[in-house]
Amino acid sequence: MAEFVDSARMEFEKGYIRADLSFLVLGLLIRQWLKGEGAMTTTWLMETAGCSYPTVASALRQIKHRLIRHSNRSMELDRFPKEEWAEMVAAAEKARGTVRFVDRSGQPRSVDGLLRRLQRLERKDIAVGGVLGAKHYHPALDITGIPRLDLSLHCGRKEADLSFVQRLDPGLARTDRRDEPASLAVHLIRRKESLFERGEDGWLYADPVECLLDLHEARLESQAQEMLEALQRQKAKHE
Amino acid sequence: MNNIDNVMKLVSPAKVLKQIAQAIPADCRENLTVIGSLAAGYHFFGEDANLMVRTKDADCLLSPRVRAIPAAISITERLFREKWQFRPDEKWGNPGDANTPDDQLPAVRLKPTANAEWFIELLAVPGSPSELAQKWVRVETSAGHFGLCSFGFLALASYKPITTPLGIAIARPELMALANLLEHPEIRPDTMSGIIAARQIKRSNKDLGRVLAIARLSIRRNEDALLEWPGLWREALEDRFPHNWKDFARRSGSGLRRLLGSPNDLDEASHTCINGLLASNPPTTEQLGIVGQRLLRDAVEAIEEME
Repeated sequence: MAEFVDSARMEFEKGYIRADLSFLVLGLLIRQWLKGEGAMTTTWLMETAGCSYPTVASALRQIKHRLIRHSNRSMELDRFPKEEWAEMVAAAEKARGTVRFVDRSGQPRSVDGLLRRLQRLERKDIAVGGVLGAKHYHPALDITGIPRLDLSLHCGRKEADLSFVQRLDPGLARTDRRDEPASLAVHLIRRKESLFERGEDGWLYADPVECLLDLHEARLESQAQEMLEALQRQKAKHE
Repeated sequence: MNNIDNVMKLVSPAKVLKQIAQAIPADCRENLTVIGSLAAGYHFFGEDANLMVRTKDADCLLSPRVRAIPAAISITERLFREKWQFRPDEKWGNPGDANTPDDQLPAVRLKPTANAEWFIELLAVPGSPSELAQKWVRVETSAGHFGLCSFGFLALASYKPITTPLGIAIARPELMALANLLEHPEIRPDTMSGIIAARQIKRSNKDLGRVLAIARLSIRRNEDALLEWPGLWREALEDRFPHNWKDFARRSGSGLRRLLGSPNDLDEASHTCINGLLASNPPTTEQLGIVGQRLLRDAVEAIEEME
């Protein structure tokens, strides 16, 4: 049975480069640390990321100097891994799979207008990230207005189906140009478990690591730093 | 600058409506609803007399049916007394008489002065929900015999009209849009009698283009305006067509989809818009197509699925 499960995970990994899979695993370690959810097992990492044991083991070797290993074979980060995080931010563009959309209607729909239509879709595989997600985790985030809507689409190994964007607004068109201000950015969540969380307002939110990466991707560096520091303070407060 | 022919003139909706309101007998005002581009222009551009729309006629819908003919007679008699004039065209040089067959009668088309750049045309709501084909009813006046035309989904345009401070009502733009959607379940080949900015245009494209123009202007006011349309559409359909409103609802998007799927037809619709209601802020044809897609998503699909 275990062999079957691992072969399924190896199937999941096909088409990915090792660096991208390490990105998934490291993202999970940081998420757990930021949320103060404590130690995790290799099995949990494998099941949550949807990765095989060799992949997880390889990713863990890269960050072993930051790991505290417990006697029950669980592990956690000893502190926030600044250098590795910087590498993740630098690699995010390639590793995450972000698709940007710009308005072509001449009457751009507001973020609220897009959200109202998202709500009508009642999708459980789409979560709010970006500035709105950051505000979910850190309500005092210093930003006026919301420059664009960031959504996380949980698609795992499947090909991403972006047809829902047309339901949000037929005026949105995909662009590969970074110099065009995007109205919507869709980030693909490739791990097996989405780890979306339901806010008190009823919205599904992407996990804090995704939200931080969204802010970096949107060039909101100071807000990303502010959010990261706020999450670290929250964690310290709860310890 | 667009090359505008001499058929469609720039007129101020506020000024024209005021002139009509003053000329219509007071006891007929409650029976009259201004429809078409003038009504839409007044709705979206307000009472600002400096804002213009390009049109040639002020379509005035008379309702209910039982009052339409007496009101038409009363209005026509009054306007002739006020020195309004019959507006002749190539087919009709003069009003008809007792020998003119009903379907050969000229419409009540009257202009306030000889050089006026617009005229009013009187129309009537159909006699029953099943009366969808064009029908002419004789109107006998001291100035001659005229035909009062009714057709299709005009009844929707008289549902809960908006009363203006001028004392006459205008049709709700979203209901004019619905009437046009239902009137054109396909793109028919028949063209407008006049040309629009040097182009011959299919009537379906002109009317469906009007739908897109209304939708775009509505979005400009409120980005979620189209989400509110299905509720009123259903209310009006149920009221006007209680036995078969669902059938109409289900086919409401047929013509629009065909328009959006035909680049040439969409281009014609766009041409009428940028030389009409959207002249002051003309969208590209692509942008107008997006308006159509938004209309389908936000309103048409919702009414199509209503049970």
